[in-house]
Amino acid sequence: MIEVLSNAALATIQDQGRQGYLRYGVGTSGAMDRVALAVGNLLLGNPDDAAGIEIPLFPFRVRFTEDVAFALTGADCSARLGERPVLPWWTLQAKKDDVLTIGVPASGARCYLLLKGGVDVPIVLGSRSTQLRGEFGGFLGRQLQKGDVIQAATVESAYSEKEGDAAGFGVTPPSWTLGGLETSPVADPADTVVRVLAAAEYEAYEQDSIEAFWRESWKVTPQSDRYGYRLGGPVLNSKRPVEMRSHGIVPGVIQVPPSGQPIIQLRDAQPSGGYPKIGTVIEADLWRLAQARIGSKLRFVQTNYEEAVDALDELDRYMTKLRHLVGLHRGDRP
Amino acid sequence: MTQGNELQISELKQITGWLETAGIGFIEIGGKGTVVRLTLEGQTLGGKSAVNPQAAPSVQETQVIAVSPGVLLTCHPMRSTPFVEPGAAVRQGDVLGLLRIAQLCLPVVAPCDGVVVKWLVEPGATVGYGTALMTLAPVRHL
Repeated sequence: MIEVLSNAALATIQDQGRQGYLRYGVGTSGAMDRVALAVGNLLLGNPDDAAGIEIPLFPFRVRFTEDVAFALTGADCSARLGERPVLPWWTLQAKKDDVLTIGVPASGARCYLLLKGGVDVPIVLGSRSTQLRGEFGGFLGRQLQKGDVIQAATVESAYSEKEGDAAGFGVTPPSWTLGGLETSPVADPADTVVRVLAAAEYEAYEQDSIEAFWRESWKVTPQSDRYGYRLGGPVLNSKRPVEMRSHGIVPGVIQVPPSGQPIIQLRDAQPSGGYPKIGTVIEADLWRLAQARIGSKLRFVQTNYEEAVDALDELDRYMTKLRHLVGLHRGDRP
Repeated sequence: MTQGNELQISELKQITGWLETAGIGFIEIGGKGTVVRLTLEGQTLGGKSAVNPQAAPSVQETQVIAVSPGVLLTCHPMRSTPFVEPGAAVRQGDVLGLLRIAQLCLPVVAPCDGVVVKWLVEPGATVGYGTALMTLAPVRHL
């Protein structure tokens, strides 16, 4: 279906994640930007649990070994199918032997390549996501390599491509619809702003540190990947040393190791850790975090439980509306 | 189709031409117990058909026609540079702009090779089916 032509370092097969196994010590994995993956599946009419390819390093090149529709979402990568540009957040029909080149993103950090029908890899513990630490799931439990051939699940093509559809169609990115978030003091427009809940050890930090946590921008250091982002900024000091037993953590948790430089645990994080937690990035904003590039800056906005739930509802409404719109568009050209 | 006048075949052709450029499969015209239904069969929606049948071949310019209603975007929402600038050479099938319907983005596609003359509609304007969006000049003329 597609053959990987580039040295595809760190590209992995991901779906919406492996839920329900944290208690057994199995992390969730799954797409860093679940919104981008979900929208890509919508564009193609795929099942919601279909897997795609998460691409964090560029350029990334593949050759189609069969005719198939694909979608690109996430970072704007000035992609090309042969010589023709492919827009971000777009779906298009590829022909056998077409080469898709996904370039270095102008904005954002991760691009998602989805195939009609979804990537066909075995379901392990309820998910097709690559579990890198455990070396299972996804494509042979590992990141993709040059020469790998990835198959899509075969689907009956109810949607026959006509000449008029050759240019494909797309949607506006979620950042356009959902907008940025306000901060005080005002953030640099290039900063990624995410909402954060105070976590269990929040009160254990010095007042100065807490104020700095909300006020300052935090650099995404090169030690940042699917496991977590190590941030650089003012040193966060606790009132007294905090020693804890290992306890369960989830993606989004912001830990503070003894260095005082926070770590945001992400999709490939271990399900337990012993560092104190100053906050948690809310689930509804993890997609924003996923698109923050190394070297860029983050800002945290304090939120509460009710607002965090509302934010998830807002995301749900956005997806429902998109599903309706895309369904109408795909449906009216049967 | 004025009352009392016979419908001319040329008018039917004009209507079917409009339907085709607008990507509409059929139209029903009703009144006083009569319904006339025109159905396009084996139509080729969009694509090459997005050439305005009214474009005068004598001036050798092609109008790019909206095949959907929507808000005209001359830049992608993630970008600040336009898809094309006046004077740019484009190939048939190139995306010249977008028509946005809520969050959905449909491409405005070049119906033929040509050179961009100008947009006929302001960016951000809401356009209807069949609106002339852009003029393309033949490549050899510039």
